[in-house]
Amino acid sequence: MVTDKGVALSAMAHEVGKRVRCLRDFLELLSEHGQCVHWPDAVLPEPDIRHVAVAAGNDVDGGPAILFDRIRGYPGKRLAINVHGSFANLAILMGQPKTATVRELFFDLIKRWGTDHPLLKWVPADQAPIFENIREKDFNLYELLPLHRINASDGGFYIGKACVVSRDPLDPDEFGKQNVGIYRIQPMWRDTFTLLSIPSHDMGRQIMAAEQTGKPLHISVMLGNHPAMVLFAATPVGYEESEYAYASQMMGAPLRLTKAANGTDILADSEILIEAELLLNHRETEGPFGEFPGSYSGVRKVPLFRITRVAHRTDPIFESIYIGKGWTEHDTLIGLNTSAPVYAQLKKDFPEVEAVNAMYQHGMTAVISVRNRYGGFAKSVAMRALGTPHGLMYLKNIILVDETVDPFNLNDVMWALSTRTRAADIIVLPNMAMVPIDPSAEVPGRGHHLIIDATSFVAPDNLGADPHLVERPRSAEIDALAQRLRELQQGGVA
Amino acid sequence: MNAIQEVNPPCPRCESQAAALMHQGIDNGERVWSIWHCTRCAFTWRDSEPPASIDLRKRAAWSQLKGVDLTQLRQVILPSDTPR
Repeated sequence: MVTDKGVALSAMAHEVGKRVRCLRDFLELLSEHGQCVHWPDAVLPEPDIRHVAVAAGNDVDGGPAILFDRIRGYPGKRLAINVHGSFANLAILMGQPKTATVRELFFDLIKRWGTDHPLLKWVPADQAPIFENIREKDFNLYELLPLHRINASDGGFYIGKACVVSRDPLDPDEFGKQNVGIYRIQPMWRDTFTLLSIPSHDMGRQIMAAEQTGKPLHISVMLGNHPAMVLFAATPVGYEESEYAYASQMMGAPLRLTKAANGTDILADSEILIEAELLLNHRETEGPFGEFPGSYSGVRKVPLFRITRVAHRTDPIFESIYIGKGWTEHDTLIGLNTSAPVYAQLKKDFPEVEAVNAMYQHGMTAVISVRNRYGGFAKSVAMRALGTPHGLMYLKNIILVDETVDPFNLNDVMWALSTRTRAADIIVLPNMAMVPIDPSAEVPGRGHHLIIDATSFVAPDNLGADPHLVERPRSAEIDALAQRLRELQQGGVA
Repeated sequence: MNAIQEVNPPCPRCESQAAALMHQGIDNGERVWSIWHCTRCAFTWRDSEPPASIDLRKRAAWSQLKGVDLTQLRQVILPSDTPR
């Protein structure tokens, strides 16, 4: 709950918020919990980094972050991957025991959700660690970063986990309209790269505005960032809401910002900064790239940027990600932060909504648990979910379950599908808007949405034939007992 | 592997002879790999990669761009100076 003093966090969450200022701090904290592994062997960029990352990411609950510093051909360079690759790592970031359940993490995130108590601290540029080393010319991305091919058929060496900051070219003084997002970046020439955004994304809107008015669009590409910032850069927040505000409120501790030379606000403690400008109306051939639906996106013409300045900490850590056919770090990274805004938007109108699990492929399948106010009510909730900003394109398959069903427990969800679904309660919405990279689309960007109402009958449904359901014990007490059992299993004092 | 390649290799994706050297990885004074960028189709590769990525006979057929008119590729965001 947000109070006058901010968000009520546990003592441990406050401790983590104070301690973790940047990626380095977080890797150290993860190491203390056995959740960051320093890879001991020399590796080739391909395929070794990909293979180690996949092995780490296969353990969705407990896989560690990996730190490489013996990459052949990149002496002295460091690369971290799978930093957000398990729920244990997210739990540690939130000051929870690393055995916390996904459901517990979801409700913890909901408590911290919002931007009404941002904690932002400005640091002079000459005191910001990110400016320890500055380069003004002779840029070469292939020399600067230990790049690697993420999937075998990618068109290049993608940068998959950069937070990109841009100001609205038509309203450059408005802090709230400054966007921080994760967009895939493909290095092209030594000093140029493409950045993929679509017209409906914040960055896409800004690119179109710059090109239509001839105004410059300056961006800052931040690499190796505060772990909370990465979560919120991937979160669909409102256009006039600041991702920095969300990230700082979530951590309950100040996020340190400084100014890039191009006027954007950047994280003072990130590892690497690449300032760049949009080359108005220039396009380059981009792709394919193995995307989050587990399929390659096509080869297309994409806006091109040119580097204007580079800065980095001493011995910087390049943070990368494995993304492709799930489950991958990408799914863990965005899962809860995709679910939370849909939940927050639904809850405003329908307090009967209990929880939202939109973790599957960025919400392409979502499970909503809701108390049926009356027969057919749950279907209207699904329609409302389709009308949320994220729901418009991403929420393709929506499964509705009773409020007593935990949407994060797929065994529970399968019980609902098995025993509560009547075929008459399945709705297909033909030819709706869809994510362009959904491989099941009829044509890219258009396809069918599906609603499965797996909630129980309530009046005015015909209740005569509906059997009485067994009431499974379920309460805060059961949750506490489960937590105690996990601690006992780990040999802790309980 | 250690000799500096003098002839630019053909692009494994579009087979044109338009590759430019981007960077060479050096360990203890020895070249470990070279990164090439095709100035025609924008494919980028490292010559130490597995054949599935850089050998045109082993690459997935769907990913090849030989003979494809790149000016006809779909625009993700239409340039504002595009004739309508």
